[in-house]
Amino acid sequence: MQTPLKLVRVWDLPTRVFHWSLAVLVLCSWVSAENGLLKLHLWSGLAMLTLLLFRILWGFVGSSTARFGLFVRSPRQALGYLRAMKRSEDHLYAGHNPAGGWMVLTLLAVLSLQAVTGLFSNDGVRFFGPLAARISAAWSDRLTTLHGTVFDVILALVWLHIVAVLYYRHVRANDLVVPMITGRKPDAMVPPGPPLKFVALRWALLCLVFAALLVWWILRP
Amino acid sequence: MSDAGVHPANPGRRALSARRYFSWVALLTTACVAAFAWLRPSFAHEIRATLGLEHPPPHSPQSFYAVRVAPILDQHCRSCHGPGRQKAKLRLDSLGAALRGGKHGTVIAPGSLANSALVQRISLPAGSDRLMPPSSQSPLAADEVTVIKLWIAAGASGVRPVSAFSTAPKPVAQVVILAVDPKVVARERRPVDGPLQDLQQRFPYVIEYESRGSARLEVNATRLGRRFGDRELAAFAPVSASIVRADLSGTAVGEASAQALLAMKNLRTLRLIGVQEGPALAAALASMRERGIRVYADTP
Amino acid sequence: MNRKDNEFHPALEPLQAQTRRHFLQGCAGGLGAMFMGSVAGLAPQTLQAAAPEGGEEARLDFTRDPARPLSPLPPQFAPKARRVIFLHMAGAPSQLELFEHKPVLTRFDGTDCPQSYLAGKRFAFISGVPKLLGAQYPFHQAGSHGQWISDRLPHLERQIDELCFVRSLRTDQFNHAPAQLLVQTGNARMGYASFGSWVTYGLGTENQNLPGFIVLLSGGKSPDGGKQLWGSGYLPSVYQGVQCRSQGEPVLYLHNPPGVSRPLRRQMLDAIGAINQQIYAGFANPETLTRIAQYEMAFRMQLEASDAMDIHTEPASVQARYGVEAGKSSFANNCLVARRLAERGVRFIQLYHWGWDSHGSSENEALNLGFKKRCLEVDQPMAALLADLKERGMLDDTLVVWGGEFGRTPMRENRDGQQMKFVGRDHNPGAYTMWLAGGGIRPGMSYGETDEMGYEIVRDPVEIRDLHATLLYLLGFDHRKLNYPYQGLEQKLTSVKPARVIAELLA
Repeated sequence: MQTPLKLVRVWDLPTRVFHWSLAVLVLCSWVSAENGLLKLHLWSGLAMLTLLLFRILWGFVGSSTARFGLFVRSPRQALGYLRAMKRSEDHLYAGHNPAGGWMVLTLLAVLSLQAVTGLFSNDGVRFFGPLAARISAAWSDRLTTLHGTVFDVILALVWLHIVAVLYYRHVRANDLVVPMITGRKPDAMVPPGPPLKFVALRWALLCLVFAALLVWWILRP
Repeated sequence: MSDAGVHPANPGRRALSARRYFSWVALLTTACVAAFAWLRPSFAHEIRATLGLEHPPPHSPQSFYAVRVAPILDQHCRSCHGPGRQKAKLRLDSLGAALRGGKHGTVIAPGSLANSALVQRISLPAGSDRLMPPSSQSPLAADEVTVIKLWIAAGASGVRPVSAFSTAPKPVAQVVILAVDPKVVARERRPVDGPLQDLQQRFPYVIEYESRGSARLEVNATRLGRRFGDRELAAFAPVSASIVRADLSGTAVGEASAQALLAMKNLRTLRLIGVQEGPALAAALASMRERGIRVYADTP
Repeated sequence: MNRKDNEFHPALEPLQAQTRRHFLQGCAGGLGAMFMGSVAGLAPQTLQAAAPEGGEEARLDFTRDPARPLSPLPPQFAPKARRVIFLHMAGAPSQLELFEHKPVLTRFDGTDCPQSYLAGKRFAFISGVPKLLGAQYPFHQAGSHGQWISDRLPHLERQIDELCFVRSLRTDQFNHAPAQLLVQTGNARMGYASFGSWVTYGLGTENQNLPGFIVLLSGGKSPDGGKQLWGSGYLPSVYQGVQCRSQGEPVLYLHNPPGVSRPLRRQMLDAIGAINQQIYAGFANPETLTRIAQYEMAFRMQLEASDAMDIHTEPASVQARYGVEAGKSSFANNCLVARRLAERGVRFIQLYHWGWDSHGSSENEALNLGFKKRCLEVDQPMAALLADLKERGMLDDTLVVWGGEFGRTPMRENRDGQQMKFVGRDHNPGAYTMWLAGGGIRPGMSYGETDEMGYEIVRDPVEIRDLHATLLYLLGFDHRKLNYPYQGLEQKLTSVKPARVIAELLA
């Protein structure tokens, strides 16, 4: 008979909602762009920008597993972790592992770049990003081209992200997907260490409101 | 192999080996890329171009394409489908790119107007959402649409000569107004500006630049009538090389101004109606006429 | 309300002088600024849509010293034409009796009009099935280029080598007033600036003692479009056309009334000017300075206008060449005045001659009666004008334009389905003819072609805005750059639809 699994809380609600909302918005942005639904694309992009700003704030004031200070390691440590993983001698981590931490930062940076270039983009016909009028037409075109190129980078990063996550699930028997939904990992997959701190939901809501105001302020001075 | 290979929650489940997993990843990724390349010819082209497998189609500078079609595409399409921007990943600034198509496949089906998306998009009624070029750009003239259709119907070739298209409408002469760089104009005007300001103070509304984009001058002293004579014209000596047009009709200039007029090296037009012509002046006018300057005087 | 409130209270005056303008300018933030702030994020879509190509280049600056609103400005690029004489034949002269030789139509004279010509068309007066009407006068070829012309204009024929006929003009207005507005202001509705206003706005005028834009009427009536045809629309009012008279006093109320001498008038103007300056210091309305400038111009005009308009100082031979009628108002007198004004540096001279609306409903409107008289009235003077300008070396930089507001139908008009007492044609907006001369126009040619009945255009259609664009090009402007911001648009003479400069018409 199986002993009942002891599940440990790892991811707080804001981080999880953020993660999946972002995934949905990336998909939404992609599909709306492909089908010329640029109004939807704009709203999707603005929502993403808000969420990204929220995540950056949360990375400083949020729960332990969300804090940049706690999961971002030096590049050397990340490489060391990858090498250890190759030899199957890697350690377990409660939140993001060192390599995963860099993946998170890269995704956040690239998605932010995409959102920002989108603000200045145009489709040459009728649609203009909210800040496109603030710069010259030539720069708007350059940023639009960049917006298109960065999308390819995002596709590659998403591919890498999914390959990595599925690697953990199928090769290392360490499912990362369900914990990101439920917020809880099996006790055996969590290393011993100091207890994780979780910040109350109201602070997350405050950060979200602040992020939204910031976006509104950028668009309507 | 460590015992992390056994999933704690599901002991019965065998995990994949790293090698097998990554083999699957490689397989699926290649399959996706291949499917993408098949669905998006522009993507396939990018890969082939990087591998050096792309060859441009044959084309000659005397072909109907080069002489009639390419200028139309350059004028109306290049801004969105060219080196700066490639809307829908389509470029129309070269024959190869135009034939290759873009994100949604080919836009030119050589020999078939019905299957050419390009033809469909430029033939839509005015005001249609999907009309190309879009309403914010200058529209294609009916003749230009005909030229493109004739070219595609005849096979979208890059070598077929102009003579093979005898039914093509004649090209419409275009009037092109060149943009002027204000910095260049300012630079050209600098040597003339100072003396010009002085002359404008002394003789208001008599001398001015020919146009906003030019450093050349025009003189019109007809308003002053007899009050403008040889002495006044002599004051214009510092700028005489810049004067391209002078109207001194009804003024009091005479023999003494013959030299001053000849000194206007860049003069193109001179009006001297109602001015007495002595021998020196008549000789000067004759020599100006010989130089090709347009002279309007009482004596032809 | 208390009667007392309407009395003049000195203490209240400064308060009453606080206009809405002051409130908007002065209140912190400004209502305008708040509004702009709220739509700044939404504005890009509309502004960008309104500013298509050429957005990178700087706008042309037409600002001038407000005391000298008509001072000359250089054009955008080197011009061919420096002034315009526009001869508008109000009522729409029949091109089929003057310039369009249609032998096929003459062959079908008297037969029923085919249904294909009537289907889907809207006519001013024709109803039922009218009969086709052949040319009422014989045509022949003239000049070195074999241009066709009827026998109605023997004097103009001698100048035919200078003319460029545009046979494929078309308009979308089939009635006089909106069609005239379209030709003169670029828009069939009122409130837009006329061609002359645009030209004086863009170029000023060479003679500061005369208006830059002068209008002369003949034929007995004003054109249907009214004073809007030479109005300034949204442009500053100083650029409107000044209607002068070639009979009696050239400008009404220009001269001092009895008892007011010129020095006394000068004193009056100085006093009024001082008051206006005070008002300007308080309200900073540029129209005040314009008003001062206008008074000054009128003062200068007292001397110069009378001289310019006085055709009796011209030698008798010149008067005879034009066919001048002493003491009367006529097109011939106006043509001679026009030449004199052109010599004196007036930028835009417009002549309207009324009476060309040959419907055939009365003797005056009959192609075989009234029309003959019209031709006699205009033929000699306009030919003399062209010859005169050429003699003075002014034709090469003076644009002469002649035409109406639309053409006439190849069908005979049958108002209410009845055969009319007199011969006439109805309005045809589908095709009509104008001629151009001088000012950089290629002479001795015809542009465009109509079908064998002269009803529709078959080759090279020319919209009115294309004509405007071409004329502005000859005056040294890209028609898109001669603009004025109003109601959120950069307004232009050629309005919002794309217009092309017709290269074939350029010399």
